[in-house]
This record gives sequence, structure tokens and C-alpha cells, in this order.
Amino acid sequence: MTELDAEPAWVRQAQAGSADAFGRLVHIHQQRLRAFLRRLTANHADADDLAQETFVFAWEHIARFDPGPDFGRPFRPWLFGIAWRKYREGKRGWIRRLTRQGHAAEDTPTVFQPDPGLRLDLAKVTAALPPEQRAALLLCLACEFTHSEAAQALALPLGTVKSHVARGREKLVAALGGSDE
Amino acid sequence: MNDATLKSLLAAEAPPASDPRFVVAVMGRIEQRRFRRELAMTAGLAVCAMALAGLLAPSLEITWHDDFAPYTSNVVIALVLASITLAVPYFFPARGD
Repeated sequence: MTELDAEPAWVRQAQAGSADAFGRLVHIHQQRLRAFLRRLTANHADADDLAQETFVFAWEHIARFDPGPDFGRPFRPWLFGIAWRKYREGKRGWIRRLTRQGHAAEDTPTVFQPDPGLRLDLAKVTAALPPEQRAALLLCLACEFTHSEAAQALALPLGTVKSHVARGREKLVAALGGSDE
Repeated sequence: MNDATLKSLLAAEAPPASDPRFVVAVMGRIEQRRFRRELAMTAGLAVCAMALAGLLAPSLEITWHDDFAPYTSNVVIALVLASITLAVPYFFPARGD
């Protein structure tokens, strides 16, 4: 039995108050959640802090998670949805901090200039995407979410997510100087 | 450039798949929040109990002298208070215990 197969049982136990089961959920989801937040915030320390806050909130509100009939509904869209909302709530703070540090503010669309001669800076490229587009792209490409799961996590219509992923992907490919296959 | 290449680029700086320190940090933060919440609740209850005791003190004193003191020993009173102290955590356990 893989960890993901055991997830519904751990969710059930965590909903019954088992901190040990919740610790296992943290263990299996921490890597992707932190990677997602690191790409969103472009700051490892802030991302890890936000990830911890996300898990704490998830623990305190885990009773609200509806596992669906036969416990078939996955846990991660709900978890990443919390992370996304927390990121949005704190975004003004992040922007202030980034601006203070002299970085480019988020949400500023930039024109991508392919520059294969320079070291690839994927962080800058993804940071320049609009937040919703970036989040949809990261969930579907880096975190292996289905479009439907990403739509659930971001509370967006399915069509919007598909469009965000397609456009974000196009921009990434163009910025990285590759050709779309 | 295909999706596999993009995925590998995006996963380049991902945290480790297993990070016990992060898990411990999360569980520590959860415990810290719970402790603070319970401390605040206990302090609030204590303040309420003190205020109530202050308000009821005159009538309690009369009841005590007339109805209880002549018939009840201090040992019994101490035992009742100790039982209540032990029973409260049993009937109202903290989450995750």
C-alpha cells in the first residue's frame, strides 16, 4: 500500500483528532506544497512559513473537509486551496517586502525576451506571470494536479484554469527560448 | 520544449521528499497554538470563577457557617476538590490526546 492509498484512512483519523495521522499527511504533502509556495512567493523562508501556517490551519479546520462518498475526494486540492488563499491574503505583505528589497513587484506583466546565452532563471520567468496563471501552471505542471483539481484548489472555473495553463505554458516556453512541441 | 522538460525545470529546487524537521516544526506550531489557546481559556475561566466567588462570597460564607462547617471535615472537602480537579481533564480532554 502506498502513502497515497493510505491517505483516506489518515484523513479520517486526523478528523477524529489523531495528531499522528495528521503528521503523516504533512509528511506526504509537504514537498509539493512547499515547492508550489516557493515558486509563488519566490522566497524559501516565507514559503516554508506559509506552508506551516497552511498545515496548522488545515489541522484546526480539518473537520470541514468533506471526503465525499467512499472517501474518494482527494485531500490535496483542499489543502492547496488553503495555501492559495493564505498566499492571496498575505500578498500585499509580500509585495511590500519584495519592493523594499528592491525586487520587481509581483503582478507586473513583462515581455519575455528569450536569452539562451544567459543562465536560465526560471524563478524570474514564473514570478512575472500573473498570480492565478502562475498558480494554475504550477499546480498542473509541477504538482501534477488535474485541471479539475487545480480548479477546485484555486476556486476558479475549469475553463479558466485550462486557459491559464495553456497561456502560462506558452509564455514559459517562449521565455526559455524553446519551441513548443 | 515538452511538458517533461518544464516539469523537471520547475522541480529543480523542490524541497526533499522526506523532511522530518519540517514535519516536527509544523506539529510544534500546532502544539504551541493549542497550548496558548488552552492557557487563554484557563485564564479566562479562572478570572470568571474569581469574579463569581467574589460576588457570592457573603452568601457563601453564611451558608458555609450554618450548613456545612458543623458537619463536614476539611479532609472531605479536600477530597471533593481533588476529585473535581482530576475529573475535568478526563471529561474535557484536549484535542489530539
